[in-house]
Amino acid sequence: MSNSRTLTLGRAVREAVHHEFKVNPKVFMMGQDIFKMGGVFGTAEGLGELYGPERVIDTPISETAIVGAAAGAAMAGMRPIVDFAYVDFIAVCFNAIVNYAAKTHYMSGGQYKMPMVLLLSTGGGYSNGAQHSQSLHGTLAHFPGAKVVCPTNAYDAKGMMHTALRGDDFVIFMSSIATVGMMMLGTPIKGTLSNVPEEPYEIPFGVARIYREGTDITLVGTGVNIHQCMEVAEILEKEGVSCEVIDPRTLVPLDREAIFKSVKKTGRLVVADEDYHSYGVTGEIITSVVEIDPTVLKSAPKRVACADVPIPFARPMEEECLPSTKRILAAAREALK
Amino acid sequence: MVDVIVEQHAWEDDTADEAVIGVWIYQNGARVKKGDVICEMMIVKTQMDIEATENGILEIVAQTDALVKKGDVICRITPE
Repeated sequence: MSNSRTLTLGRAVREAVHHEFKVNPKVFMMGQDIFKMGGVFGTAEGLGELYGPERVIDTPISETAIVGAAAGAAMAGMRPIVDFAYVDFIAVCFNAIVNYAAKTHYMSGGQYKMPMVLLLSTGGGYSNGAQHSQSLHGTLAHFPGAKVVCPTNAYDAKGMMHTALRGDDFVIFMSSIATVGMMMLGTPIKGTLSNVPEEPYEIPFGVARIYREGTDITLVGTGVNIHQCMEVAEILEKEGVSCEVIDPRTLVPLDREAIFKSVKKTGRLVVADEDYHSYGVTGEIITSVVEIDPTVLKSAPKRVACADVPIPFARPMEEECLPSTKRILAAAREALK
Repeated sequence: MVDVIVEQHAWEDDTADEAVIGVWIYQNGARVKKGDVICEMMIVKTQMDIEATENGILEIVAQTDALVKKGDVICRITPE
């Protein structure tokens, strides 16, 4: 009988963080309510008692101060992890992110490195209102100088966290709240759970994961939407349609080649991403196919994203706005016509 | 064979009557070590880890999504 462990994404990330804390004294964490409480999403659970308040630093409620201090510490040779909780609040520390964390390595001619990991939770679906439900993938992937990664299952998350903490680059590590396995939000989505080895391993950035191979249509999904794409693939399989399902895993660098290769094979493309519809990841992915060769497409590509409105608090309205299995399925049927 | 039960002090009495099984980290038949976290359980809004009380082979009694009360057996561990 198999002795493998089935972990939630959250626990897998925690395992990688614990390991790197143990082997590298330069790794430390800053965030709100992390020392005693273990963080809003449990990322720092158990770290405080093992490593004390000097390496697991509770901060005031000032994202501006946390990110600025972390960027400075990274320049001075430390390896900070910022437990940021909701992505929405990057708005108050954009100068530190865009102009310092992302540019210092380049502007110092490589004299300063920026080995800093910004841990962000993204996505809606829980009636958290317009300021606690956004994804902002496109916003953070837009400016150069940061690696932007979005693991969708426990195995990838652990490996990507090791890669992030061992590299010298500024990494924005984003996870859909729906995928981390917080029980208060219900039993974890099955596809987010994986067999995770106890020993550390690294997953390179810029390599997509093909969740499912197929021949008739390509479904690309990020964050929680990849799991909805998988549901769509199961529904369509019963109708004789073979879906290829691709998770880019990292938005920067983006594995455009894997996506193009898939669309060249299937001829049809639907992209699902929980960030806003306009100027977003969905448009970028579609462009990276059509700018190489638009003739590989047999039908117009479709994007399924969050409506261009502040995300509503009211549950039925929120459901209407966010990508869902239903909306991805409808888009796939359109693309298959 | 040793029963792993939901302890009386698992949560405060006025919190809730029942907890829900969220994830089994080890599957039926797995070899577990005393102290391994084997299961994640949820009580209202609090997540709780259940640890193996013995070394041995795991037999799951309460499946994922099952509701459990204090004193209920959630799994058994058979020492080898």
